[in-house]
Amino acid sequence: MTDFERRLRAAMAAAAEPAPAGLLDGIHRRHRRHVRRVATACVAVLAVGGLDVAARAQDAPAGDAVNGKRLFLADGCFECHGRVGEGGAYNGTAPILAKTALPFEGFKMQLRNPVNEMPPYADAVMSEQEVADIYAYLESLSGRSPVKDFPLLNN
Amino acid sequence: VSEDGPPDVIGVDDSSFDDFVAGSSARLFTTARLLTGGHRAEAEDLLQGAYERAYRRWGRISRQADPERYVRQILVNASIDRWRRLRRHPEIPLPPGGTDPGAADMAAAVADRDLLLRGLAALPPRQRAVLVLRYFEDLSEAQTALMLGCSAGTVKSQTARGLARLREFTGDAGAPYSGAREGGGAP
Repeated sequence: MTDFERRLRAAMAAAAEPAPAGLLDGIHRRHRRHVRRVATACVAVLAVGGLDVAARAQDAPAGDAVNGKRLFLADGCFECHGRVGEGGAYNGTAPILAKTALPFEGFKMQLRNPVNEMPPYADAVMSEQEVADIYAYLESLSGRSPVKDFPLLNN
Repeated sequence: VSEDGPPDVIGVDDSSFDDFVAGSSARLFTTARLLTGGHRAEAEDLLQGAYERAYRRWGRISRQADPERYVRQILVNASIDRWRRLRRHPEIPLPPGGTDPGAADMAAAVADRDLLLRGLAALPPRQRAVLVLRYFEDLSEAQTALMLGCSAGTVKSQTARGLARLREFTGDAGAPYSGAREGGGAP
């Protein structure tokens, strides 16, 4: 180990300090918020009848898919969920949204009161119509391709 | 559920979790501060989030040999992901070494450490994470690679580059990266 590396190690060790006060309370408070968000999202999904594909299309308000695409990109949704809703990762898996299985009400609930690391999109920053537009855009995408379409996976 | 009520988890052994936090939080808080480049509030937020995630799975994690490793892994991932997401942390250009008027008096150990930590904070987050894991957490190249999801060769090159930039920052013309081991995991 060089002298410089030793100095760096000593500098890091000297940076040590006690953990912040109230850390444990903060962890538990944060956990209670998480539990509430999960419960709220589950209730929302159950309230609209689960994941019935036919129902979700009918229940969704009319939306403008072109504007939805613009919003999806402009508001940064694509940063975690991919430019065409193919999914991604941020502190865990960011779900695939192309042809989402969520009914409109569940989708909106996740936007307004997100589970996990997603930031909330309140009415003030995203109107009901804009949510419908994004939903229409996601519904207009082709969704997952079946495994048979990938020759490599069929070898 | 009241904010002041008990945790909404059934079957979680709170006392063992509390003990774990009490025993590991000082070290992990320092890790978080080093990973975030000295941002205290951000470090506290990262640490709180990492512990909360561990709490959700405490029944399983507590049976592992090293639950601290789990929290450390979340901290490292979150610190890098947060930077990627926010993109509000442009790289701070390193000033040429020796231009600081006080540089001539940097012989004092405290000033030297402060300069090194400021240099560390100016590194790109991933390079910073490599140095923190190698020189503070004392992980080997292989362990660091596993934690960052890259090869040991990448860890080696990132370590060398990070040290070179730090040397540039501090105006140090010392020896290059040793690559040799001493004591724990760091070379």
